[in-house]
Amino acid sequence: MVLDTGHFAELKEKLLNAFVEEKHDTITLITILDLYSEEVNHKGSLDQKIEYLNEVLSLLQQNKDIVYEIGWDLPKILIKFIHWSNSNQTIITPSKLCLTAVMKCFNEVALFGNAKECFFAGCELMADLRMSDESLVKFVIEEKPIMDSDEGDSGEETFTEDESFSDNTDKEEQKTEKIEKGDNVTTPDENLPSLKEGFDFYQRLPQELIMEYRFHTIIELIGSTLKRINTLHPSKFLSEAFEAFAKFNLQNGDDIDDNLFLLRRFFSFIRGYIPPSPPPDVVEQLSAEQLDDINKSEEILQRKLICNMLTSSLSQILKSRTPSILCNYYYSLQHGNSQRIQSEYYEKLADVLSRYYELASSFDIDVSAEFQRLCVEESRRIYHSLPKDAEINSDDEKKEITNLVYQLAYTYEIEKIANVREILLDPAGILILQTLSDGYFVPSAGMKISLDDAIYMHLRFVTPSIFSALFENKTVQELTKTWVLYALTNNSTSDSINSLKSLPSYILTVYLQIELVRSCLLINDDNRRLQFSVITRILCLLPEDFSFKFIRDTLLSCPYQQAKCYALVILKDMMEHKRKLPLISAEDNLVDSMKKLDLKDSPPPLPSRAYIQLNDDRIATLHSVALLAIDDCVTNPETKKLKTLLMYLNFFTAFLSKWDLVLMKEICDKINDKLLTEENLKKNDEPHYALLVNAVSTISSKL
Amino acid sequence: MSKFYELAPLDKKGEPFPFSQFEGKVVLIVNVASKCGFTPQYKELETLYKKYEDKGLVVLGFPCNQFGHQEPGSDEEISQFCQLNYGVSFPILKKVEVNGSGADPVYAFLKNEKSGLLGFKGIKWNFEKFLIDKKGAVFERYSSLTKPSSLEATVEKLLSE
Repeated sequence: MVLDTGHFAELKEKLLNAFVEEKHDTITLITILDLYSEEVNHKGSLDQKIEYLNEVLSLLQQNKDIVYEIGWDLPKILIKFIHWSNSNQTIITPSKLCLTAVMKCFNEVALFGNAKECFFAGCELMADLRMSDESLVKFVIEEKPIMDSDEGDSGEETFTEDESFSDNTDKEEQKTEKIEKGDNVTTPDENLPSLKEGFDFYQRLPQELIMEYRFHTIIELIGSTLKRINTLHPSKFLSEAFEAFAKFNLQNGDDIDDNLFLLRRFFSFIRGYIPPSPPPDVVEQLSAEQLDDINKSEEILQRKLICNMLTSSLSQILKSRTPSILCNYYYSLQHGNSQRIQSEYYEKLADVLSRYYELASSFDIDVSAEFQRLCVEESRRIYHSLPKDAEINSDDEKKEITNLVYQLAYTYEIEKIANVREILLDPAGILILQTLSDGYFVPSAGMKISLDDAIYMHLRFVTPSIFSALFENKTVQELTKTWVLYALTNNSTSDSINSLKSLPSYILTVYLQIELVRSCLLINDDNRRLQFSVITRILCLLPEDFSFKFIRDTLLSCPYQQAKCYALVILKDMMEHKRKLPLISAEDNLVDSMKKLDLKDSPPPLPSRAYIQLNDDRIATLHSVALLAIDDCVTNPETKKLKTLLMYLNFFTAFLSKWDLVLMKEICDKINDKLLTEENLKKNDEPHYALLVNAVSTISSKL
Repeated sequence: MSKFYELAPLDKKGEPFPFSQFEGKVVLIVNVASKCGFTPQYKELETLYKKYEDKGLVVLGFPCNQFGHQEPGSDEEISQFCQLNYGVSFPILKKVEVNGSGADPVYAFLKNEKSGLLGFKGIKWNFEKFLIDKKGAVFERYSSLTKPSSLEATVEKLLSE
């Protein structure tokens, strides 16, 4: 696209005249500037845009008094030139000349505009910046209807509950969907560089790239104008800037792939913050004592704001990407640090986080102490007032309290937000700093956390997201899970057993339910296996009856069929394996060594037994639960349910020699009669019937 | 007597280095790092030291690896680096931590006596400077951006008191 040469020249001439003729009518001047800018940006060639921007720059440089008047209105006009259309078509790179011209104009605004007004304009732009905003990559002209863009489809994603729980491996699919969706929208300018080509070139969404340029330009404007403001109350401006950043994070956190960019930009802003100077005439208006009082309270406020921003930006920016820390920690336990997952992203993340840690220390934040206070102790306190098992009189009461446990942390967080009276550190940010800032998960030497504390902490950070997506934070949730594994592997078995004993049974039930359900939603096999390993390990430490009851209840009432399958796998493991924990901690080695020094005669050790023994009661229980599963399949023969039934049969096959064969025959007969009917077997689209036939005949042949 | 003179950090060999030896002298304490953008400040620190050493100025460098891991070497390596690259002749002491619970008592004292920007006590980066007067009182704290040469007038003033 190109504007007619004559028209373009005329437009520039008019702009020049406007700066002279409308010098005192700033509203008219800014309207003219807005109209011409829009026309050039939409209809001009890249060269014309660069020429136009340099013309504007020249006018701004020559008319600093006008910049002071209209500066606050310029950013929202000029920022639109940072646009996907302003790319060099052949190499799909946003034009450096165009970007430079825009940034130089911003520089004029930052240096010579009214500092306060321009600062607020920058904050407004920051708060409104959306990666889902189509105008980053397409021309959205108000007069013309846009075919695939209305209020209900602005490109913002809505996640289902399942998606919100899942890990980040499906992010690529979401990206591709966005690209495809974007390509389907017809825009007024068909000469726009292809978004698909842009994605292939940058390996990320072009709108993210454009948004980053805009973000960089705006944050520089905010930072520069903030330094120029003269005020006795810098905290008001600092809080305004932080609020804009928070809004930006809230709106874009889930969409942005390159969170390192944001982490670095926020880091630079926080680290480079220098409080604005007081107005020059303040000494005449206030006594030295008054001035000192204001300065002191302002310093306190700014300190709190900065510390809050440092910690909350971390938790917000990292919330939608899992750091693979659990797997890394597990591998390091198994094979030493050399087996850790290496990735350029995590190396860079570790580097940025170590800078955040250093900065936190320079801001007098004792991260370890705050971790203890805000993460460990506060989490424990949330659940502290719950009754002990002995104080609960009925199953209904227990059920009610169990439901309460699910909601407790959410209610706590909401009340904390509602009743906040001061600016606090963000516990999630502290958790990230304590856990990740030393590279991979390397807790300080001798760092102790008990298993019950780790479980409380995990529940506190995981359960609120069940009630509000605002609290969904994949990084934090994986970190607390890692702390549970850390507690399991760094405390003696006896300490862990005692820790679990100190927890009310319903807390453990909620913890295990959550972990089991979340494991169903994990895509990564390694993560899922690891999650099972943690669940199984905890069930092994718990009393046999409790563990069996938990698995029975899962089989009876869990809404997720996959969780039932996993529960059967875990039960099979626990019935087959004898009591010997797979991972022995250093503490246990010490206990064993001490025992060897004991000179007293000790009784012969008891024969080892399975974690859950198979007895008549348990056979009867599992039999009746399996019958219910068959009924369920008959009523509603979904693939998932048939799969669960298949898992039951695999389980029974493993224990056939110990099973009551009469009961087993009843199961086989019922499946044959009710489920494996001629009609069902004819259904070619359901392979599980054939698998069931095979499993039933294998069992029947051994009866 | 100022508590400053009760401090005794360790020198690069791990031997006590009592500050009592500096009573009546002006002391400039700097947390240093070999791989920092501010490392060339060693040159100006050495110039300042040489110019006022005889009049009673002492410059002390405390290597620290807490900022960007920019001082990874051993005490011996650090000392060699300073001598070879900047001809440093003022004492470079044992590597310390300046922030956090493991901060060296010297830095715990200095930070407590003089806060930085906005009242934060923590050291923000390499080459922050503390100037101590002849009575062992912390006179001023300077950021990494402050060039050692710009302290000449203040040093002279303190030396003349």
